Amino acid sequence: MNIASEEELVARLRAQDQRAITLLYRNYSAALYGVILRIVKQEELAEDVLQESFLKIWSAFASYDEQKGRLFTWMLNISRNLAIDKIRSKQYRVGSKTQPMENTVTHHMVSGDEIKPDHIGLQEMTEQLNPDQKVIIDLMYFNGFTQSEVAEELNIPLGTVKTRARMAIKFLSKLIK
Amino acid sequence: MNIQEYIESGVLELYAAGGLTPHQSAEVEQVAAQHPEVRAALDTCLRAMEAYALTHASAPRPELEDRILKQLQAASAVRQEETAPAGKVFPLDTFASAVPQANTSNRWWQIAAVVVLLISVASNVYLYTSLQETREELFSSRQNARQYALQVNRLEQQNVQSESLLGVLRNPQTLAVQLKGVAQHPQAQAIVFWNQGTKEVYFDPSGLPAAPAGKQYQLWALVNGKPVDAGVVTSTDSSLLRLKTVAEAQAFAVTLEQEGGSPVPTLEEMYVMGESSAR
Repeated sequence: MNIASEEELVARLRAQDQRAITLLYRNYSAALYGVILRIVKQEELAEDVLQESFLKIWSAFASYDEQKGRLFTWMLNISRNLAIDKIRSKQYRVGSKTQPMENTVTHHMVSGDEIKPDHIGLQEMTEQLNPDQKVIIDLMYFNGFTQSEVAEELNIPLGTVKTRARMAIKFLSKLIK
Repeated sequence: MNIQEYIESGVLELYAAGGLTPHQSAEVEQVAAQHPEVRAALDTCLRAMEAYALTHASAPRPELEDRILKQLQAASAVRQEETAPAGKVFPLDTFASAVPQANTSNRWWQIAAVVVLLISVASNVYLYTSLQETREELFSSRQNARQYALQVNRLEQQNVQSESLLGVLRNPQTLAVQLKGVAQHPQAQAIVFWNQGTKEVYFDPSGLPAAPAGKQYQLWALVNGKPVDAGVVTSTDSSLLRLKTVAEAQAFAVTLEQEGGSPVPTLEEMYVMGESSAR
Protein backbone atom coordinates (compact mmCIF):
# COMPACT_ATOMS: atom_id res chain seq x y z
CA MET A 1 0.00 0.00 0.00
CA ASN A 2 1.52 3.29 -0.99
CA ILE A 3 1.47 6.59 0.84
CA ALA A 4 -1.20 8.15 -1.32
CA SER A 5 -3.68 5.39 -0.65
CA GLU A 6 -2.81 5.35 3.04
CA GLU A 7 -3.53 9.07 3.19
CA GLU A 8 -6.78 8.52 1.37
CA LEU A 9 -7.72 5.74 3.76
CA VAL A 10 -6.96 7.94 6.78
CA ALA A 11 -9.10 10.72 5.33
CA ARG A 12 -11.98 8.33 4.73
CA LEU A 13 -11.71 6.86 8.22
CA ARG A 14 -11.74 10.35 9.68
CA ALA A 15 -14.89 11.05 7.67
CA GLN A 16 -16.47 7.97 9.28
CA ASP A 17 -16.69 6.30 5.89
CA GLN A 18 -17.96 2.83 6.75
CA ARG A 19 -16.51 1.25 3.64
CA ALA A 20 -13.08 2.36 4.76
CA ILE A 21 -13.30 -0.02 7.73
CA THR A 22 -13.58 -2.97 5.39
CA LEU A 23 -10.75 -1.56 3.32
CA LEU A 24 -8.68 -1.09 6.46
CA TYR A 25 -9.26 -4.69 7.49
CA ARG A 26 -8.47 -6.09 4.08
CA ASN A 27 -5.39 -3.95 3.67
CA TYR A 28 -3.80 -4.72 6.99
CA SER A 29 -5.27 -7.85 8.55
CA ALA A 30 -2.67 -10.22 7.08
CA ALA A 31 0.24 -8.00 8.09
CA LEU A 32 -1.06 -7.46 11.63
CA TYR A 33 -2.11 -11.07 12.09
CA GLY A 34 1.30 -12.28 10.95
CA VAL A 35 3.06 -10.12 13.53
CA ILE A 36 0.59 -11.03 16.28
CA LEU A 37 0.92 -14.74 15.53
CA ARG A 38 4.67 -14.42 15.56
CA ILE A 39 4.37 -12.95 19.07
CA VAL A 40 1.68 -15.11 20.70
CA LYS A 41 2.39 -18.25 18.64
CA GLN A 42 -1.15 -19.61 19.05
CA GLU A 43 -3.70 -19.13 16.28
CA GLU A 44 -6.74 -18.91 18.52
CA LEU A 45 -5.10 -16.34 20.75
CA ALA A 46 -3.77 -14.48 17.71
CA GLU A 47 -7.31 -14.20 16.32
CA ASP A 48 -8.53 -12.72 19.60
CA VAL A 49 -5.66 -10.26 19.65
CA LEU A 50 -6.32 -9.30 16.04
CA GLN A 51 -9.93 -8.56 16.91
CA GLU A 52 -8.90 -6.51 19.95
CA SER A 53 -6.37 -4.68 17.82
CA PHE A 54 -8.90 -3.62 15.23
CA LEU A 55 -11.33 -2.52 17.92
CA LYS A 56 -8.61 -0.46 19.55
CA ILE A 57 -7.45 0.94 16.21
CA TRP A 58 -10.99 1.96 15.42
CA SER A 59 -11.82 3.39 18.81
CA ALA A 60 -8.50 5.22 19.17
CA PHE A 61 -8.41 6.39 15.60
CA ALA A 62 -9.13 10.00 16.56
CA SER A 63 -5.81 10.01 18.46
CA TYR A 64 -3.83 8.90 15.42
CA ASP A 65 -1.47 11.68 14.34
CA GLU A 66 0.14 11.30 10.93
CA GLN A 67 2.80 13.80 11.97
CA LYS A 68 4.16 11.13 14.30
CA GLY A 69 4.31 8.38 11.73
CA ARG A 70 2.47 6.32 9.19
CA LEU A 71 -0.84 4.62 9.81
CA PHE A 72 0.72 1.21 9.23
CA THR A 73 3.38 1.80 11.88
CA TRP A 74 0.76 3.04 14.30
CA MET A 75 -1.43 -0.03 13.71
CA LEU A 76 1.54 -2.35 13.99
CA ASN A 77 2.46 -0.82 17.33
CA ILE A 78 -1.07 -1.18 18.69
CA SER A 79 -1.18 -4.82 17.62
CA ARG A 80 2.32 -5.58 18.89
CA ASN A 81 1.65 -3.98 22.24
CA LEU A 82 -1.61 -5.87 22.72
CA ALA A 83 0.05 -9.14 21.71
CA ILE A 84 3.06 -8.55 23.95
CA ASP A 85 0.76 -7.61 26.85
CA LYS A 86 -1.03 -10.89 26.27
CA ILE A 87 2.08 -13.02 26.55
CA ARG A 88 3.27 -11.10 29.60
CA SER A 89 -0.01 -11.12 31.47
CA LYS A 90 -0.31 -14.89 31.69
CA GLN A 91 1.67 -17.91 32.57
CA TYR A 92 3.00 -17.25 29.14
CA ARG A 93 5.74 -15.25 30.72
CA VAL A 94 7.31 -18.37 32.17
CA GLY A 95 10.26 -19.52 30.17
CA SER A 96 9.41 -17.38 27.21
CA LYS A 97 12.69 -15.54 27.36
CA THR A 98 14.68 -18.62 26.58
CA GLN A 99 12.38 -19.76 23.79
CA PRO A 100 14.22 -20.01 20.50
CA MET A 101 13.39 -17.15 18.14
CA GLU A 102 14.22 -18.49 14.75
CA ASN A 103 11.95 -20.42 12.44
CA THR A 104 8.73 -19.92 14.26
CA VAL A 105 5.57 -21.38 12.84
CA THR A 106 4.59 -18.16 11.10
CA HIS A 107 7.24 -18.48 8.46
CA HIS A 108 5.57 -21.59 7.18
CA MET A 109 2.07 -20.24 7.48
CA VAL A 110 2.48 -17.41 5.09
CA SER A 111 0.11 -18.01 2.24
CA GLY A 112 1.66 -16.97 -1.00
CA ASP A 113 -1.28 -15.25 -2.62
CA GLU A 114 -1.82 -12.90 0.30
CA ILE A 115 1.62 -11.40 0.11
CA LYS A 116 2.92 -8.96 -2.39
CA PRO A 117 5.54 -10.54 -4.63
CA ASP A 118 8.10 -7.92 -3.65
CA HIS A 119 7.70 -8.99 -0.06
CA ILE A 120 8.33 -12.59 -0.89
CA GLY A 121 11.58 -11.41 -2.38
CA LEU A 122 12.13 -9.27 0.69
CA GLN A 123 11.51 -12.24 2.96
CA GLU A 124 14.17 -14.24 1.16
CA MET A 125 16.54 -11.33 1.45
CA THR A 126 15.86 -10.78 5.16
CA GLU A 127 17.10 -14.32 5.64
CA GLN A 128 20.46 -12.90 4.68
CA LEU A 129 20.16 -10.63 7.69
CA ASN A 130 23.07 -11.26 10.01
CA PRO A 131 21.74 -13.63 12.74
CA ASP A 132 23.48 -11.64 15.47
CA GLN A 133 21.69 -8.50 14.30
CA LYS A 134 18.40 -10.25 13.55
CA VAL A 135 18.03 -11.71 17.03
CA ILE A 136 18.25 -8.22 18.51
CA ILE A 137 15.46 -6.65 16.50
CA ASP A 138 13.39 -9.83 16.87
CA LEU A 139 13.68 -9.70 20.67
CA MET A 140 12.61 -6.06 20.66
CA TYR A 141 9.94 -6.23 18.01
CA PHE A 142 8.33 -9.59 18.72
CA ASN A 143 9.12 -10.05 22.40
CA GLY A 144 8.88 -6.46 23.55
CA PHE A 145 12.34 -6.44 25.06
CA THR A 146 13.96 -3.09 25.78
CA GLN A 147 17.55 -2.55 24.74
CA SER A 148 18.67 -3.22 28.32
CA GLU A 149 16.68 -6.48 28.47
CA VAL A 150 18.25 -7.56 25.18
CA ALA A 151 21.74 -6.78 26.50
CA GLU A 152 20.96 -8.78 29.60
CA GLU A 153 19.38 -11.66 27.71
CA LEU A 154 22.23 -12.01 25.24
CA ASN A 155 24.87 -10.97 27.71
CA ILE A 156 26.35 -8.30 25.46
CA PRO A 157 27.11 -4.61 26.06
CA LEU A 158 24.36 -2.04 25.51
CA GLY A 159 26.47 -0.29 22.86
CA THR A 160 26.62 -3.52 20.86
CA VAL A 161 22.83 -3.81 21.01
CA LYS A 162 22.54 -0.31 19.58
CA THR A 163 25.11 -0.91 16.86
CA ARG A 164 23.61 -4.22 15.76
CA ALA A 165 20.06 -2.84 15.78
CA ARG A 166 21.25 0.05 13.65
CA MET A 167 23.03 -2.23 11.17
CA ALA A 168 20.02 -4.55 10.92
CA ILE A 169 17.67 -1.70 10.10
CA LYS A 170 20.15 -0.15 7.66
CA PHE A 171 20.28 -3.50 5.90
CA LEU A 172 16.47 -3.66 5.74
CA SER A 173 16.28 -0.08 4.45
CA LYS A 174 18.56 -0.94 1.58
CA LEU A 175 16.37 -3.91 0.68
CA ILE A 176 13.22 -1.83 0.30
CA LYS A 177 14.87 0.89 -1.76
CA MET B 1 22.59 18.72 20.30
CA ASN B 2 24.51 17.45 17.32
CA ILE B 3 21.78 16.23 14.99
CA GLN B 4 24.03 14.09 12.85
CA GLU B 5 25.45 12.33 15.90
CA TYR B 6 21.95 11.81 17.24
CA ILE B 7 20.83 10.23 13.96
CA GLU B 8 23.86 7.95 13.90
CA SER B 9 23.65 6.99 17.57
CA GLY B 10 21.29 4.11 16.86
CA VAL B 11 18.49 5.46 19.04
CA LEU B 12 16.17 5.90 16.07
CA GLU B 13 16.65 2.25 15.12
CA LEU B 14 15.95 1.20 18.69
CA TYR B 15 12.78 3.29 18.59
CA ALA B 16 11.67 1.70 15.33
CA ALA B 17 12.36 -1.81 16.60
CA GLY B 18 10.52 -1.09 19.82
CA GLY B 19 13.55 -1.37 22.07
CA LEU B 20 13.07 1.89 23.98
CA THR B 21 11.15 2.49 27.17
CA PRO B 22 8.04 4.70 26.85
CA HIS B 23 9.98 7.58 28.35
CA GLN B 24 12.89 7.21 25.86
CA SER B 25 10.41 6.89 22.99
CA ALA B 26 8.70 10.12 23.94
CA GLU B 27 12.08 11.85 23.86
CA VAL B 28 12.78 10.58 20.34
CA GLU B 29 9.36 11.79 19.19
CA GLN B 30 10.06 15.18 20.64
CA VAL B 31 13.42 15.50 18.87
CA ALA B 32 11.90 14.26 15.61
CA ALA B 33 9.15 16.85 15.86
CA GLN B 34 11.77 19.60 16.16
CA HIS B 35 14.25 18.42 13.54
CA PRO B 36 13.04 17.41 10.06
CA GLU B 37 16.30 15.51 9.38
CA VAL B 38 15.62 13.37 12.44
CA ARG B 39 12.01 12.92 11.36
CA ALA B 40 13.16 11.77 7.89
CA ALA B 41 15.77 9.38 9.32
CA LEU B 42 13.23 8.00 11.78
CA ASP B 43 10.69 7.47 8.98
CA THR B 44 13.28 5.51 7.04
CA CYS B 45 13.82 3.24 10.05
CA LEU B 46 10.06 2.83 10.55
CA ARG B 47 9.63 1.94 6.89
CA ALA B 48 12.29 -0.71 7.24
CA MET B 49 10.51 -2.21 10.22
CA GLU B 50 7.17 -2.07 8.38
CA ALA B 51 8.75 -4.06 5.59
CA TYR B 52 10.24 -6.47 8.10
CA ALA B 53 6.80 -6.91 9.72
CA LEU B 54 5.30 -7.57 6.30
CA THR B 55 7.69 -10.44 5.69
CA HIS B 56 5.83 -12.22 8.49
CA ALA B 57 2.39 -11.49 7.00
CA SER B 58 -0.10 -14.32 7.28
CA ALA B 59 -3.74 -14.13 6.25
CA PRO B 60 -6.15 -14.86 9.10
CA ARG B 61 -8.98 -17.33 8.55
CA PRO B 62 -11.58 -15.74 6.22
CA GLU B 63 -14.35 -16.23 8.85
CA LEU B 64 -12.55 -13.73 11.03
CA GLU B 65 -13.26 -10.87 8.65
CA ASP B 66 -17.01 -11.06 9.17
CA ARG B 67 -16.64 -11.39 12.93
CA ILE B 68 -14.29 -8.44 13.30
CA LEU B 69 -16.10 -6.18 10.85
CA LYS B 70 -19.39 -6.76 12.67
CA GLN B 71 -17.72 -5.77 15.92
CA LEU B 72 -16.29 -2.66 14.34
CA GLN B 73 -19.65 -1.85 12.85
CA ALA B 74 -21.34 -2.16 16.22
CA ALA B 75 -18.69 -0.02 17.88
CA SER B 76 -18.97 2.52 15.13
CA ALA B 77 -22.78 2.59 15.36
CA VAL B 78 -22.54 3.34 19.08
CA ARG B 79 -20.07 6.11 18.40
CA GLN B 80 -22.19 7.56 15.64
CA GLU B 81 -25.23 7.64 17.92
CA GLU B 82 -23.18 9.58 20.43
CA THR B 83 -21.66 12.02 18.00
CA ALA B 84 -24.15 12.29 15.17
CA PRO B 85 -27.61 10.91 15.99
CA ALA B 86 -28.92 11.70 12.51
CA GLY B 87 -26.00 9.93 10.88
CA LYS B 88 -26.83 7.12 8.61
CA VAL B 89 -25.37 3.68 9.32
CA PHE B 90 -24.59 1.56 6.34
CA PRO B 91 -24.33 -2.18 6.81
CA LEU B 92 -20.79 -3.29 6.14
CA ASP B 93 -21.88 -6.39 4.30
CA THR B 94 -23.42 -4.32 1.56
CA PHE B 95 -20.07 -2.85 0.79
CA ALA B 96 -17.92 -5.85 1.50
CA SER B 97 -18.11 -7.17 -2.02
CA ALA B 98 -17.64 -3.75 -3.54
CA VAL B 99 -14.48 -2.97 -1.65
CA PRO B 100 -11.38 -4.25 -3.38
CA GLN B 101 -8.72 -6.17 -1.49
CA ALA B 102 -5.90 -3.75 -1.61
CA ASN B 103 -3.60 -5.88 0.55
CA THR B 104 -3.22 -8.27 -2.34
CA SER B 105 -1.74 -6.14 -5.05
CA ASN B 106 -1.60 -9.31 -7.12
CA ARG B 107 -5.33 -9.53 -7.13
CA TRP B 108 -5.55 -5.85 -8.02
CA TRP B 109 -3.38 -6.42 -11.01
CA GLN B 110 -5.41 -9.46 -11.99
CA ILE B 111 -8.65 -7.52 -11.73
CA ALA B 112 -7.12 -4.62 -13.64
CA ALA B 113 -5.80 -6.99 -16.29
CA VAL B 114 -9.18 -8.69 -16.67
CA VAL B 115 -10.93 -5.33 -16.92
CA VAL B 116 -8.46 -4.10 -19.51
CA LEU B 117 -8.82 -7.34 -21.43
CA LEU B 118 -12.61 -7.13 -21.38
CA ILE B 119 -12.52 -3.53 -22.53
CA SER B 120 -10.12 -4.49 -25.27
CA VAL B 121 -12.26 -7.42 -26.42
CA ALA B 122 -15.39 -5.29 -26.32
CA SER B 123 -13.76 -2.53 -28.35
CA ASN B 124 -12.42 -5.04 -30.81
CA VAL B 125 -15.86 -6.54 -31.30
CA TYR B 126 -17.35 -3.06 -31.57
CA LEU B 127 -14.68 -1.85 -33.99
CA TYR B 128 -14.92 -5.01 -36.08
CA THR B 129 -18.69 -4.70 -36.28
CA SER B 130 -18.36 -1.04 -37.20
CA LEU B 131 -15.77 -1.92 -39.80
CA GLN B 132 -18.09 -4.52 -41.34
CA GLU B 133 -20.97 -2.05 -41.35
CA THR B 134 -18.76 0.61 -42.88
CA ARG B 135 -17.61 -1.82 -45.53
CA GLU B 136 -21.20 -2.74 -46.34
CA GLU B 137 -22.19 0.90 -46.48
CA LEU B 138 -19.23 1.68 -48.69
CA PHE B 139 -20.13 -1.23 -50.97
CA SER B 140 -23.77 -0.19 -51.29
CA SER B 141 -22.74 3.44 -51.76
CA ARG B 142 -20.42 2.39 -54.54
CA GLN B 143 -23.22 0.31 -56.03
CA ASN B 144 -25.56 3.27 -55.85
CA ALA B 145 -22.95 5.55 -57.36
CA ARG B 146 -22.46 3.06 -60.15
CA GLN B 147 -26.21 2.86 -60.68
CA TYR B 148 -26.48 6.63 -60.83
CA ALA B 149 -23.56 6.82 -63.19
CA LEU B 150 -25.18 4.26 -65.44
CA GLN B 151 -28.51 6.07 -65.31
CA VAL B 152 -26.85 9.38 -66.06
CA ASN B 153 -24.97 7.75 -68.88
CA ARG B 154 -28.12 6.22 -70.26
CA LEU B 155 -30.02 9.47 -69.94
CA GLU B 156 -27.22 11.33 -71.65
CA GLN B 157 -27.18 8.76 -74.40
CA GLN B 158 -30.95 8.98 -74.73
CA ASN B 159 -30.70 12.72 -74.76
CA VAL B 160 -28.06 12.63 -77.48
CA GLN B 161 -30.13 10.09 -79.31
CA SER B 162 -33.29 12.19 -79.04
CA GLU B 163 -31.50 15.26 -80.17
CA SER B 164 -29.97 13.49 -83.12
CA LEU B 165 -33.30 11.85 -83.91
CA LEU B 166 -35.00 15.20 -83.81
CA GLY B 167 -32.28 16.40 -86.09
CA VAL B 168 -32.95 13.46 -88.39
CA LEU B 169 -36.65 14.14 -88.48
CA ARG B 170 -36.28 17.87 -88.94
CA ASN B 171 -33.70 17.42 -91.62
CA PRO B 172 -35.33 18.44 -94.93
CA GLN B 173 -33.32 15.73 -96.63
CA THR B 174 -34.99 13.03 -94.55
CA LEU B 175 -37.56 10.99 -96.35
CA ALA B 176 -40.20 9.18 -94.32
CA VAL B 177 -41.29 5.89 -95.81
CA GLN B 178 -44.46 4.42 -94.37
CA LEU B 179 -44.42 0.62 -94.19
CA LYS B 180 -47.90 -0.92 -94.04
CA GLY B 181 -48.97 -4.32 -92.80
CA VAL B 182 -49.31 -7.08 -95.33
CA ALA B 183 -52.44 -9.26 -95.61
CA GLN B 184 -51.42 -11.58 -92.74
CA HIS B 185 -50.53 -8.66 -90.41
CA PRO B 186 -52.87 -5.81 -91.21
CA GLN B 187 -52.33 -4.10 -87.83
CA ALA B 188 -48.57 -3.93 -88.20
CA GLN B 189 -46.87 -0.80 -89.37
CA ALA B 190 -43.46 0.88 -89.30
CA ILE B 191 -41.68 3.94 -90.59
CA VAL B 192 -38.29 4.26 -92.24
CA PHE B 193 -36.55 7.65 -92.00
CA TRP B 194 -34.03 7.77 -94.77
CA ASN B 195 -31.67 10.67 -95.15
CA GLN B 196 -31.20 11.28 -98.80
CA GLY B 197 -27.98 13.17 -98.19
CA THR B 198 -26.13 10.90 -95.79
CA LYS B 199 -28.09 7.77 -96.75
CA GLU B 200 -28.53 6.96 -93.06
CA VAL B 201 -31.56 4.89 -92.19
CA TYR B 202 -33.57 5.24 -89.00
CA PHE B 203 -36.34 2.81 -88.26
CA ASP B 204 -39.38 3.22 -86.03
CA PRO B 205 -40.46 -0.29 -84.98
CA SER B 206 -43.10 0.74 -82.44
CA GLY B 207 -45.94 -0.32 -84.74
CA LEU B 208 -44.70 -3.89 -84.98
CA PRO B 209 -45.93 -6.67 -82.67
CA ALA B 210 -43.31 -7.86 -80.20
CA ALA B 211 -41.01 -10.40 -81.77
CA PRO B 212 -41.38 -13.91 -80.34
CA ALA B 213 -38.46 -15.41 -78.47
CA GLY B 214 -35.59 -16.43 -80.68
CA LYS B 215 -36.82 -14.24 -83.49
CA GLN B 216 -35.92 -10.72 -84.63
CA TYR B 217 -37.30 -8.41 -87.29
CA GLN B 218 -35.05 -7.60 -90.20
CA LEU B 219 -35.31 -4.63 -92.53
CA TRP B 220 -34.74 -5.11 -96.20
CA ALA B 221 -34.10 -2.55 -98.87
CA LEU B 222 -35.42 -3.57 -102.24
CA VAL B 223 -32.96 -2.48 -104.82
CA ASN B 224 -34.06 -3.15 -108.37
CA GLY B 225 -36.28 -5.99 -107.12
CA LYS B 226 -33.58 -7.60 -105.01
CA PRO B 227 -33.71 -7.57 -101.18
CA VAL B 228 -30.62 -6.09 -99.53
CA ASP B 229 -30.05 -6.48 -95.78
CA ALA B 230 -30.65 -3.13 -94.03
CA GLY B 231 -30.11 -4.35 -90.51
CA VAL B 232 -31.66 -6.30 -87.68
CA VAL B 233 -34.23 -4.67 -85.42
CA THR B 234 -32.79 -5.39 -82.00
CA SER B 235 -35.76 -4.05 -80.07
CA THR B 236 -39.31 -3.11 -80.87
CA ASP B 237 -39.54 -0.97 -77.73
CA SER B 238 -37.32 1.77 -79.08
CA SER B 239 -38.89 4.73 -80.74
CA LEU B 240 -36.18 4.87 -83.35
CA LEU B 241 -33.25 2.68 -84.26
CA ARG B 242 -30.37 3.45 -86.49
CA LEU B 243 -29.91 0.66 -89.00
CA LYS B 244 -27.58 0.20 -91.94
CA THR B 245 -26.93 2.89 -94.45
CA VAL B 246 -28.88 2.33 -97.63
CA ALA B 247 -27.57 3.98 -100.77
CA GLU B 248 -30.39 3.11 -103.02
CA ALA B 249 -33.82 1.57 -102.60
CA GLN B 250 -37.20 1.63 -104.30
CA ALA B 251 -38.97 0.00 -101.36
CA PHE B 252 -38.47 -1.33 -97.78
CA ALA B 253 -39.84 -4.50 -96.20
CA VAL B 254 -39.62 -6.12 -92.78
CA THR B 255 -39.55 -9.87 -92.20
CA LEU B 256 -39.37 -11.94 -89.04
CA GLU B 257 -36.15 -13.90 -89.03
CA GLN B 258 -34.06 -16.04 -86.74
CA GLU B 259 -32.23 -14.06 -84.10
CA GLY B 260 -29.26 -12.33 -85.67
CA GLY B 261 -30.88 -12.01 -89.05
CA SER B 262 -30.70 -13.95 -92.30
CA PRO B 263 -28.84 -13.43 -95.54
CA VAL B 264 -32.06 -13.72 -97.50
CA PRO B 265 -35.58 -12.77 -96.38
CA THR B 266 -38.18 -15.32 -95.45
CA LEU B 267 -40.97 -13.99 -97.60
CA GLU B 268 -43.71 -15.94 -95.77
CA GLU B 269 -42.81 -14.03 -92.64
CA MET B 270 -43.10 -10.56 -94.12
CA TYR B 271 -44.90 -8.12 -91.82
CA VAL B 272 -44.79 -4.67 -93.40
CA MET B 273 -43.75 -3.13 -96.67
CA GLY B 274 -43.69 0.33 -98.26
CA GLU B 275 -42.49 2.01 -101.39
CA SER B 276 -40.07 4.85 -101.31
CA SER B 277 -40.80 7.90 -103.29
CA ALA B 278 -37.10 8.50 -103.76
CA ARG B 279 -35.39 7.64 -106.89
